[in-house]
Amino acid sequence: MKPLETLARSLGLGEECKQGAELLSRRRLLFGGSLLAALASKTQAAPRPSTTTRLLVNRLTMGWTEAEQLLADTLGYHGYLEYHLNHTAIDDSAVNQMLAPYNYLTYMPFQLMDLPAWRATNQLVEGTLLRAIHSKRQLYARMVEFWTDHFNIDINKHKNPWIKLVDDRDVIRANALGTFPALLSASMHSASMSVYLDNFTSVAGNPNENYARELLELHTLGVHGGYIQQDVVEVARCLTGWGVWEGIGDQLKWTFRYDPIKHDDGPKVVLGQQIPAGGGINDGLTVLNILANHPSTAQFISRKLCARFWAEDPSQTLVDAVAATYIATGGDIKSMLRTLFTTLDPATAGPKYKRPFHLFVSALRATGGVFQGDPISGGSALRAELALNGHESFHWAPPDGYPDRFDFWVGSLLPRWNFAASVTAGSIQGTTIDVDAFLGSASTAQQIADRIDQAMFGGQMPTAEKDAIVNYLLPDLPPLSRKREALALAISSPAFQWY
Amino acid sequence: MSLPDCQGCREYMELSRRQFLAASGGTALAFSMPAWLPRVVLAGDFCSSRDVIVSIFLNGAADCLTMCVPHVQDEYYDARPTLAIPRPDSGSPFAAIDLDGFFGFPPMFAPLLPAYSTGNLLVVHATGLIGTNRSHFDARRLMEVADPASPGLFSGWLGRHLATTSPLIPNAALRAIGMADGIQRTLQGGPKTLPIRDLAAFGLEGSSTTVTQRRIAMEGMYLGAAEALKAASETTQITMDLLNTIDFANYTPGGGAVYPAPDSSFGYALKSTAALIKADLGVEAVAIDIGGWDTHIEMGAIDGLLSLKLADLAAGLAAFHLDMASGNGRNVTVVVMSEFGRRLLENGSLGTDHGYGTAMLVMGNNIDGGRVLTQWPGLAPEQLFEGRDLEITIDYRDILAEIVQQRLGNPNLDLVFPNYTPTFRGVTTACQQVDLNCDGQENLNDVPGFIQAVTDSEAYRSGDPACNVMGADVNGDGVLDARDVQGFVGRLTQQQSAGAARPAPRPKSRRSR
Repeated sequence: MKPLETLARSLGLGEECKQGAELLSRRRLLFGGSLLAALASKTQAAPRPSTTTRLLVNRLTMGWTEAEQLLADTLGYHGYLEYHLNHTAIDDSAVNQMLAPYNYLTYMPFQLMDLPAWRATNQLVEGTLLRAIHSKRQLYARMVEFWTDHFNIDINKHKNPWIKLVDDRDVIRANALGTFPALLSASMHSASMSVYLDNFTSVAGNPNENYARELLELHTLGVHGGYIQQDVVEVARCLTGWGVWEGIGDQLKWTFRYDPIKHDDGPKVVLGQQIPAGGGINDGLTVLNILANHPSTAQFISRKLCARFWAEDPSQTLVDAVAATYIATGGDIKSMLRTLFTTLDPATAGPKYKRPFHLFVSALRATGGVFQGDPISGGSALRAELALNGHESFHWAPPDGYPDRFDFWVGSLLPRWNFAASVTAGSIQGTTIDVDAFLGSASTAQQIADRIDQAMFGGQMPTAEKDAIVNYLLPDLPPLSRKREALALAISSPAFQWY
Repeated sequence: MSLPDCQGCREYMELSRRQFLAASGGTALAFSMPAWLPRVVLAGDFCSSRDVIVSIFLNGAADCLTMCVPHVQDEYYDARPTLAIPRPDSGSPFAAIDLDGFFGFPPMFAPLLPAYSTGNLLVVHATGLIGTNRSHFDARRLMEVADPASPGLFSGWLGRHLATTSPLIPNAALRAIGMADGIQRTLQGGPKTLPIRDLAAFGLEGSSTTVTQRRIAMEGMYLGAAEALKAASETTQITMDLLNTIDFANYTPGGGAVYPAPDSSFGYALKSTAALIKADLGVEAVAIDIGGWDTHIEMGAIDGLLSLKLADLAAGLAAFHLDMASGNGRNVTVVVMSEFGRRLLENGSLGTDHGYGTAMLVMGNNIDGGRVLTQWPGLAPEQLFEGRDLEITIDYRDILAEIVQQRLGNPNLDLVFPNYTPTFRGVTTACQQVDLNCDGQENLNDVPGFIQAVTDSEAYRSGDPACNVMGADVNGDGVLDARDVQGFVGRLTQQQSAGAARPAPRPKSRRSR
């Protein structure tokens, strides 16, 4: 078993991850021979990349890489899925080291509020980029992005330049692969969300409906989930008093506060359920319960998950399967993902269009690019580039989150092409691709194109697009500047816009 | 007969032939006419000149009671002790400028008076989106989508307009621009539409010695791409070239107009828009956003934040109007709107909270302006919406629909504003028809008249002085020349090319797109 343990460790599986080792041993049986030898020699004993594992690598990560594909083919479809679902077992010390100077990400509001707003915001945006590019916990990164969109908060609103950092850590990251009810509860108790959707001003006699409405329409039931306007009003009444500690100087400041004086303590009716008078904070907790367990919530969340991870307009069959898992497990996110990826034939999942953040991250991942943020002075050029593409993290104003639709993003091609040109030319300060290291020994036009094909497309680059790159690189033995430009073409290519 | 010497006549001839070849055949009538006109088919009863539209959205709910002051209403002054614009006869340096004895402009709207007094600026008051809920996000989205009955609809009214009408200039490579990093909802669904934040900076980065070769390589790569992606690539590539032909940096506005600068992004956006429209490359719609109108705290209506924003807005619009009116260019209709208005009562922070009824501005030639169009509901408590806000008595879609049909020449209002039957309110003046033989119809019989009108208008006029020769001024620039040919051809072939642009017969079920 020793070689297996060594392999397990080198693949980032914790020593205690027996499950991973067992999976590896199953693989070993199937393939025969020493697994290490197989990996080393790439002989016919080596696992053959399959379309199904390729889909999984594309969907579970922020950008396909050869290393992830190899891992997926070693572990097999189910093994690879479990590997990424078991995110806490994945050793992430490398990116944690990069994040160490990003101290604001560990702060409480009372510490953050004394900082210049831009500095706090910058660490959050850069931290998010760092993790997406360099973390090994890729599915976790994807889920963090998913829930960030779902529980969208515009960082420019009111106090959010500071306190969205807290929401990011304690609401989104803490629950991204947990359960939806826990995530919802954390969001309902989030000072950042309260401030973003004005609930902290909501008071008996003058309840503010903004948060209540978005809670029902965007966070849980969905617009067709079967609620009426009066439900919005009643939920708003239930949530009066759910605000923040303001106007004080101690450690509580800008954290969640339930103020009974602001609360409307009359009786209410929410979605047909009577809520008697005098409930206090329990009114809101009852609402949380109703929403978290509602079949419409199961459908709505499942549909969004399927749209993000499987296909833009997912089949009702798939949505129903995931929704059933929601109901059966009390909204366990890992279980839902497992159902999502094991219900339909992976060969039937069509390609999805990369949003700009995804394009950036996948380009850097595939080429071994490094993002070096600046936690002190901040304002990284990569972040500015993302803004030009209309996808700067945490900068979407309405609560529905950045769209994930092909027809929304398709018109904005030139900013993508310019990112590709700039990042390969080395003109995005703080973001570097070592093109020579990436290309290795490849020196002729064909060799360079082959290397790009392997590393970025797994050997599946469309012929026309690959030919365009070969032709661009001719005559042979092109100088570095030309190689950089060819790499830019690859990042700009149609095939690289999909995953 | 020979065409007058004109730049681009050959180009027009080429375009006409291409258009004919491109149009689905079968319905073209065989007819004996000059070789340079394609076979045409009958068109509907539309306006002869189509405007370019500039849609400006004030993000954050701009305060309409400051934009157009109801200075005879005591309730306004009672409710806003610090924010009300002083009455015109108050002797205050910040006094409102009386417009019609009831309403007035705030003093910072003074630059708009010329456009107003010549009848080119219309204020619409107590309008907006009925049923809105005082949520910025919801109201803005619903106003842009313009179909509250279909919450899942992803397209915008202007995008649907573009999708249901033929291009203003046949075969235009670029038809609309959203001046933002991502296309605004208003324009979603529009073909040949791009988001471009800065028109003057739309080029491919990297070495200038290799840029052409790189662009060619990319063109090759995108030939086999998914349809919409390929179209976006083509539009992007052509647009880079088109915009490159315009010298934005040295653009000189017409009429001595001066745009607010250097710190006005709105002024910059309008100035580039003017340059773009005058280049007549085919862009027929531009969407611009101005943010920062959500004045909950220290609104500064008289002498502060809001007054500065209104001054910027007015200066920009006035410069644009002067610029566009003077040049030899197309007519432009500008429409300004916001998601809702603000509460009558000022709050404890010297500001105002979210309201309901709002105002719109419509500007251009052929706009019936110089007045405040409203069914004023009043400001007494029982007259206010939910006892607190200006009511809505005119659905904003009425205003937009009339512009879409009468100024943009698109009668497909059922597709642009689904589930709604608009009422025209007289926003626009009567439209010109291309009825050059004055028989009350627009059809092939007008061709000889058109040819004569643009080549020898004197002879045309002497034929029948009562017949309106200016109907031949299809591009609305006040001059009869070969520039009107494209539009004339476009109008008469509209039916044919609209057959390609118009979507398939609408299914009974709601489109969920």
